[in-house]
Amino acid sequence: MKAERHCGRYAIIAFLISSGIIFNLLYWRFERLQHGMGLYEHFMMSPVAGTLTILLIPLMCISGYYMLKELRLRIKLEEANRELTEMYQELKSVDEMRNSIISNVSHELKTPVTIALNACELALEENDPESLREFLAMIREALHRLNMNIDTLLEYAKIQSGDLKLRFEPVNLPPVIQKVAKEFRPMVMKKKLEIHTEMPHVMPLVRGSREHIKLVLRNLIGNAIKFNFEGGSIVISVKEHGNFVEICVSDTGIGIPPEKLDRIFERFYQVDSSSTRRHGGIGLGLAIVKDVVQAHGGEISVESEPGKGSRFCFTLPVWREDGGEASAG
Amino acid sequence: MARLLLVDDEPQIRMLTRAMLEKAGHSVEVAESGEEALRKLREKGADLVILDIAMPEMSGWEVCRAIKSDPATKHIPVLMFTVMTRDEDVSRSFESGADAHLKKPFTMRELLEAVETLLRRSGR
Repeated sequence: MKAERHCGRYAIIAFLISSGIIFNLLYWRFERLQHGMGLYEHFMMSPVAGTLTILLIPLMCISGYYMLKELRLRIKLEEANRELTEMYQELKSVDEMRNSIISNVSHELKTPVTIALNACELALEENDPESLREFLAMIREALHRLNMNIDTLLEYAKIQSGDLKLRFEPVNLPPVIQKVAKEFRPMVMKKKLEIHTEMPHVMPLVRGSREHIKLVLRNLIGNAIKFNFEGGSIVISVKEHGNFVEICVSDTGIGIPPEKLDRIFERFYQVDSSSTRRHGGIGLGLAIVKDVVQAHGGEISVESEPGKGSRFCFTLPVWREDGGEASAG
Repeated sequence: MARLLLVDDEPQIRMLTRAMLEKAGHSVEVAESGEEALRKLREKGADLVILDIAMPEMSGWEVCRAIKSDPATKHIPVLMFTVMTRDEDVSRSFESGADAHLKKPFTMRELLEAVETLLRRSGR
């Protein structure tokens, strides 16, 4: 490689010198030609210059050939270099992501454990019943949080191993939604949020797996709470659209920057993924939600305005008595 | 009896750790972010800072570096307490100038022992 590079350098020099001389000679001759002399006479008049020209032309060709080769080589090298840099960047970001996954997962699992253990320790030395109740409530909340995180990880492991087998049944949505919303009551009260549900009186049953629908709702409502401002509100609405039922969860929270909207359903993607992240979470929730909704034959979408709030909508097919899958339309 | 500054963004960890430290007779000031911690430290000072790492805006490491690079607060011992337990995290804590690294979850005894050791070492 090194020899070739030198070769290229010499080729450039040889090409420049030989072409320089040739063009000088040609120019000189051209001037003479204009004074009315024939080509043959010319050569006769200055045999040295003529011979030099003839000798130099092949040199120019050869060096030109090597020069082009060298240029092509350089372009290729440049490209390879760029590709390598890109690959390196990609690997580095994968590595960074892996690190942030490890620290996110350990943060999300160990924080509630720490809270529960410390509260236990303090509760054991506490005599005042009121404080005791407070510690117990704290332990309960920590265990709920831990359980949710473990569920998320297990669900992810299941999906990763291609083991997302859904058992479809007719599901009546309103009680499922009420039940999931109720699970979040302590968090909702703590943040002084208001949850409204907008549901029609008559609702068709949907075709889905009850537990998985709960999982989707838990993730969306959990996010709506987590990313909401204190005193904000959350609206859960259900609407029938032909063969599908559309469920939307809107919040009045911090929203998502438009350039990050396409990525939020990616695994381990977090809008703010720095190690100093603000909102915690493992970064798997929405990826799982998307997989589950699609496995139901539904779709999920998001609209958001930074500072105003986000609105996540997903669809589930209406249950048909004949057991057939509802077709889109 | 020492004056401690406890910094953590998790309100419950803040409350529980504070309760533990107060049980041992320390007076505890709390801060929920790095900026608040640095401000309180400049205003009121402290004998020891207990610092979480994964926090909003400013990480514990950055806060620690800020404490240790300011001549006015440089002498204050810093105890990191965190769920980050990988070797590189621990060494990052020490690189940023921390005096000790306590892993979460911890028991009350571990916490108090770490605090006492640092206070004794700093001559309080």
